[in-house]
This record gives sequence, C-alpha cells and structure tokens, in this order.
Amino acid sequence: MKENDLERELSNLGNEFQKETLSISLIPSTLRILKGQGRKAPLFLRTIPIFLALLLFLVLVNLFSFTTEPLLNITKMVFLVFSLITGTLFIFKPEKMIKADKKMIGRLSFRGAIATPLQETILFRLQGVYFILIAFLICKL
Amino acid sequence: MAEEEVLLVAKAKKGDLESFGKLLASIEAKLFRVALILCGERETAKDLLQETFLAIYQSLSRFSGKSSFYTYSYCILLHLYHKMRRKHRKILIPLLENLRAPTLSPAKSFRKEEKKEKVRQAIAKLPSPFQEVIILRYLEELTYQEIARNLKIREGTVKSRLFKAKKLLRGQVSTFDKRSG
Repeated sequence: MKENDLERELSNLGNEFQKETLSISLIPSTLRILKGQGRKAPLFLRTIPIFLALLLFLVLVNLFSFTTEPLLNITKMVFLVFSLITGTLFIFKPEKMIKADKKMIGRLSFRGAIATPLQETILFRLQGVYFILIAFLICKL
Repeated sequence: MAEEEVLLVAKAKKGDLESFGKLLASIEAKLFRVALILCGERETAKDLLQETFLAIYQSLSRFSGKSSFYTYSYCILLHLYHKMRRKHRKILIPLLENLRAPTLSPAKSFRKEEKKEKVRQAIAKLPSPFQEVIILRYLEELTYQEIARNLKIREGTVKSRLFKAKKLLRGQVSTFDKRSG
C-alpha cells in the first residue's frame, strides 16, 4: 500500500467512524454502579447471605446420611460445603460471580457478553439454586 | 482546560456524581468512536467504554488538569484497551463486523470494506504511542500542534511518531494482504 493510499484510507476510516453513535448512553448505568459502590448496605443486610447459608447447612446436615466409610463422609461433607458456598454466592452475589466467570473464560468475554446484565444475573441466580439442589443430593447420597 | 470543565472536575473529585455525569457526557461519543475503532465491534467497545468510565472516576484524584479531560480519559481508554489485549493475546480482532449495506457492486463494496477493515485492524495492533497520534490525527482530525499540546510532547515528536506509525501500518496491511492472498 502506498503512502497516499494509506492516508486516504485513514481519512475515510475517520469519516466513517465519525458517523458511529451509541444507541443508548452508558452514563446512567455508570452512575448507578458508582452510586452502588459508594453506598454501603447495613450490617444486617450484609450478613443475610452468611446467615442463610449457615441455616441451610444446619438443615442439610440433619438430612446427611452418614456411612461407615469415614473417607466418603469427609468427601461428601467437602462437596456439601463447596456446593453451599458456591450456591449462596451465585444467589446473593451474582455480580461478583459474573466478574469471576468473565475472568475465567477470558477469551470469550473479550467479545462481549451475549446476554444483557439482567439476564446474566437471573442466569447466575438460577445456577445458585442448582448448586443448592446439588448440596441436597449430596446429603441424600 | 475550559473554566466549566475545571469546575465540573473539582466537583466530581469531591464525589459529585452529577458533575461527573456531565463530564462524561462531553466525551462519551468521541471515546466510543475510539473504542469502536480499536475493538471493531460495538458490544466490546461498549464494555471497554464502561470500564473506562469507572476507571476515570477511580483515578480522578490523580487528574491534575494539565491536559484536557478528554485527553486524560482517552489515555485511560488506550491503557485499558492494551491491558485487555495483553490479557487475551490470542484473540483476533474481529474482521469485517462493521460492514454496512453495500452501495457499490457487491464485489467492489466488499473489497473496499475489506481494505478499510484491514487498516482498522492494523491501527488496533499498533503500540500505544503510535495509536494515540494516528487516532488523534485522523479520527479527531487534530492538527500537529493540537496533538502535541494534548499529549504534552513536541510537534517534532508528533510528526516522527506519525511517520513511524504509518510505516508500521503499511507493513501491517501488506502482511494482511499476503495472508489473504
């Protein structure tokens, strides 16, 4: 490509992109995020997830079917705790899990999410319910 | 920096989100276009823009006002874009996602769009200092003097960077040409 050609292409590209506009401004959502960051929830609200997870754990432990194999019991217990913690996080902290998920998949997130933020949150909360069900199944195993 | 901008920055630094919103409104469209040139697709450009907005707010206390608010934000956007690229090195910048409805014959239109896309991709792959000058010169249509003032570099440096950037672009575009046969 010659210098003049490149200059022309660059100018064309500049003109072309001058026409591009955002359909919806990102400012309101940005300000909402910043407002949310600035405002801290009361202590009792922040402890609700931990309290509920603990409550669920106590309920599920009652249903736990212990076997004579100590190793199996430990494995089941580890899986139960893991499923409970993951499930609780998915339900109560979907935005944090979405962030972690995007970091993990990396490559795909670069292309942008297909779902809207609301759809993502709903999906992650549903996954949370799924994890709690797994925890329940582990108890009954 | 304009007087109004100074006032808004000062208020935003104190946590006034309304002023911060006004500041963002003055640069949003321009920044979006830069993000779009770099990312090549609207959704990723939007994500990058939102990340930039949040990063601007977090680093607002470090903004001394020596450059314009736009230049400051623009540098943050470029920094985030390169961080993103480093993280996802293997990702190919999307090809021909911005094709518009053809006005020429399909073959001619395709070739024209392909050429444009190659140039855009080549810009996206440039190192940050060269990218800055190319975008400011051809997208923002700033003069050498204005670029120098915005980036706080000498006019001679702007010219030499532009020269080097165009050389790199030509090399990059010919590589694409060879690859596509």
